[in-house]
Amino acid sequence: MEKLLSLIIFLPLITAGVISLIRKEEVAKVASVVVSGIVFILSLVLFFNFDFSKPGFQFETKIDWIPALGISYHLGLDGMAISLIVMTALLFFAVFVWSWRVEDRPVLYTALFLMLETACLGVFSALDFFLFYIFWEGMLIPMYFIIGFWGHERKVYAANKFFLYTFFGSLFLLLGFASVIVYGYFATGEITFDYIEHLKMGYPLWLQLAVFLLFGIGFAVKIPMFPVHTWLPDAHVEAPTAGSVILAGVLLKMGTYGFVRYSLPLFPDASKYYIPLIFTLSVIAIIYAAMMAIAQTHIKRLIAYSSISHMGIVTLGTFALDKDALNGAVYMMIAHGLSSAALFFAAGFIYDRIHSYNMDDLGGLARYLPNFAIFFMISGLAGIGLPGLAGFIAEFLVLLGTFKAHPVWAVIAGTGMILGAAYFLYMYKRVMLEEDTIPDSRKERWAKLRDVEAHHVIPFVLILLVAFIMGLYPAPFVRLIDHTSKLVFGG
Amino acid sequence: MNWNALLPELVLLIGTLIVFGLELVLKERYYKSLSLLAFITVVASAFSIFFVNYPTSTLFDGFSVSGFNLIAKFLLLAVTGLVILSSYDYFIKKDSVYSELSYLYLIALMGFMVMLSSENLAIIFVGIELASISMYILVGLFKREYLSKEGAFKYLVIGTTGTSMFALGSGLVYASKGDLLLGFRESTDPLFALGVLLLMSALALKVSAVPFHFWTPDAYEGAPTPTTSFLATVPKIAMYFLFVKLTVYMFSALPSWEFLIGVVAVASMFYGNFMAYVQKSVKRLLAYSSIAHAGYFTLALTVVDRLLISSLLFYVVVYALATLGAFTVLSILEKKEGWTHHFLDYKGIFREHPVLASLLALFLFALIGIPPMAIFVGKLGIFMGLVKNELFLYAILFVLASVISAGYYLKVIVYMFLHEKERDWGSTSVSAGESLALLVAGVFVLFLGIFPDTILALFLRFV
Repeated sequence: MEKLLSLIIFLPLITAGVISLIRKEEVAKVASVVVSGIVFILSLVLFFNFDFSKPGFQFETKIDWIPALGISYHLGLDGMAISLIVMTALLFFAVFVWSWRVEDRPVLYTALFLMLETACLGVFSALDFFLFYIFWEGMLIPMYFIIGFWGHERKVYAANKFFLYTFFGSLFLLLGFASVIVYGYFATGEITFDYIEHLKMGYPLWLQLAVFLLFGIGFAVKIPMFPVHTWLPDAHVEAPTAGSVILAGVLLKMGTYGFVRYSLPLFPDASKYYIPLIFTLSVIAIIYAAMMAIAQTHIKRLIAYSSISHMGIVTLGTFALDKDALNGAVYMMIAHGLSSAALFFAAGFIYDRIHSYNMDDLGGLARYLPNFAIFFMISGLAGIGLPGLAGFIAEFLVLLGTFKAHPVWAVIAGTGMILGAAYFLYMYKRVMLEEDTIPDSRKERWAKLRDVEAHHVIPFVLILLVAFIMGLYPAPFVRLIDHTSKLVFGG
Repeated sequence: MNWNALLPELVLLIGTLIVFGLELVLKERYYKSLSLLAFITVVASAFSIFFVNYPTSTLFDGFSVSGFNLIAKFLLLAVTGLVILSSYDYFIKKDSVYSELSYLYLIALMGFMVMLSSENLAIIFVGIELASISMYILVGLFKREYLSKEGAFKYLVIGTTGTSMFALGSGLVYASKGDLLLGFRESTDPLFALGVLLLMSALALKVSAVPFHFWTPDAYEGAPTPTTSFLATVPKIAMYFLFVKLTVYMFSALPSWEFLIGVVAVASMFYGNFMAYVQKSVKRLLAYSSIAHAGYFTLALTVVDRLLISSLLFYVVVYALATLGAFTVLSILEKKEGWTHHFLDYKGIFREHPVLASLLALFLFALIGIPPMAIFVGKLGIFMGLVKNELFLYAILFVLASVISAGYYLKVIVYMFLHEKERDWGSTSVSAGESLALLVAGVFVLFLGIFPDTILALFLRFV
């Protein structure tokens, strides 16, 4: 089992190497689908072998790597990490199936996505600061090129903005790591990069307060939190469909994952101290981003703002310092990963067929694309947290947990969810319904549109199925995530 | 007489003489074969290192062998071998073959090996001089080009100043101590201080640290690109091994030496990084980046610490590999008619040469210090070492300078990948030697990033 985890992480990278040597389009496409499928199945094997009654990290591997600097190859999973790994594997599989028809340089395309998959899976399983940082940065270069090569009109601008923001953020993260390692050296006389060792150290308050901010900036850029969120709408608007899906579904979760994995347990006192700051920023993000979403006419920009709003709920739940709220926050990471992925798939499908993201060019599509209309509707409802779908459980838990100690904040945040319903329904109306306003010439053209094909249906069905399961029968998932909450809060 | 201790040098010397003799007879037509012969000599010499018994010394302690020296020699030989392989096709394609090249590299290498084998300042001086003179010729090899001549002349004038400073410094140290062998005890004698100061300046000049950097951009730009890749790698490795040795056994005997080196280091880091931003030519940009790197490296010499020195040497080696790779790509591109290394020339070359562009991007990303490339480990080691010794100010300045440097490397990458092509350059060809050099450099930059312990542990053992 321990070896299986390493295999899951590095299988995509090896495949990327192999297909870039072979350089055949068909091979690249088939290999990417097959390998990501295998990775998904193997991740399920890990998932079902995970024993959530046992506390602590499981499937641990620890091998000395650079002993002179106290660096080791240390992997391990807890409830949150295994859930995110399964979700990541699922989304990458969906993305590869979706990209079956990619025509522009497919070999490079699949190779970059496979590299990205390794980086994402690695981030969620690394238990060594150095290893974590390598995976964390490793995702930067493939994503930069994915946006820069396959994006839309202003792709170079968006790619550079994405790179500079996230690179800037990770430098703070690096400084944060360096500070705690330096502290560790002077406290224990040994340099160690090991996460578990650092958990035992118990930093003094002054260090916690300072380093929390360094880590916080690094993670906040990735999430992204208000006010460092401005790269996200641009990156999403310009990125290709598959890039947006991974960006929203997986990359944003790295930031919130970082908060739960590093900030909360390493700096418990600072987390308490900074509650007002985090809550203010989260609530601003929830409300402000939702308002911005309502004002958009570009569907991808709208979904991007809705992501910022949802990530606000996650950060709110994380720092409510309550077990239910934290469970809700992690649940939200997965629920949002699924729903935003589905929504970006839907936006990408519309663009494939009509070549526009602008609501003014759309309208009344439900009549011509009936099957797609259903998928789109369910994806959106999953996003706004309709009961029966995963998002509802998450929002409910977050609000419940936050309400216990901070009722006012919970009430303000709750209004954001109403806005969520508003912007999605508004978008759906403008894009799929509203037949009266579209001219006849358009109707004629749209009569010939092809509805969803197999490589569209499979991703939708897989993602929405999981969203339903998690919405209808949340108990096992909550227990799984509770495994992490116990780790964070003890007991 | 202990011949075994001299084995690598002897093999190299014999090979050099053979190449030299053959060149007199064979002339330009056989340039490629002569280069190959030079490469074989280097390989044989590198192989012979494994048969040397150490530690030992010969020639009345003027020539000593230790694990530290042997590693240095092996690395020098390896990198020189790659340079020789990557250079021959460039000169053939440029239609300016000077078959002296094949043995000039070897003689310069010989100089460095002698320099590293001795603990005696006089012999170190002889080694430096042998290497320097060969390198002046190497830079000025394009007799018909103004830039090449200008670069060589500047290099000659400033380089000679450096060697004379070294000679005078050694003389003053001898006057003060009555001994040229390294391993001095702390002393406040003004003669000794002046001598050490001169020696330090000479070394700073050779590694192109501020304020002795003026020759670097011109020599780098003027020299034929494969020679630039020699200039940017082999002397750097050799000089830092020497720098480490002198710091440990000599500079640290001078009170407040840390401060002197610290000032030079900080000035180089920031000067190099800021100047790199205003460069229009990628070749000059890399020259300024090497000044900045000289700053990082000398920063690691502000205190004698095992971790710091090992990280420094590790960093130098991977830096040499990444730089070698970058310059090899540049020299391949330069085979195109009219290529000037101006930024605009690089627009959109990814479309035409996806592999070359990706490799250059890899080396530039490595130079920024992005993991998993090896330089990240080097930077991390230096940072941790500085912090360990409570040099927090230096550590912070080091991080700051590294961050600043990211921008100009990225600029090249952006031009290559994300801009559209404006002009058709025609094709270029990659020779077998060049592809081998690129492959080795690329693989090792990644491999040492993922398994740095293979070399780092070796350094830690012998330092």
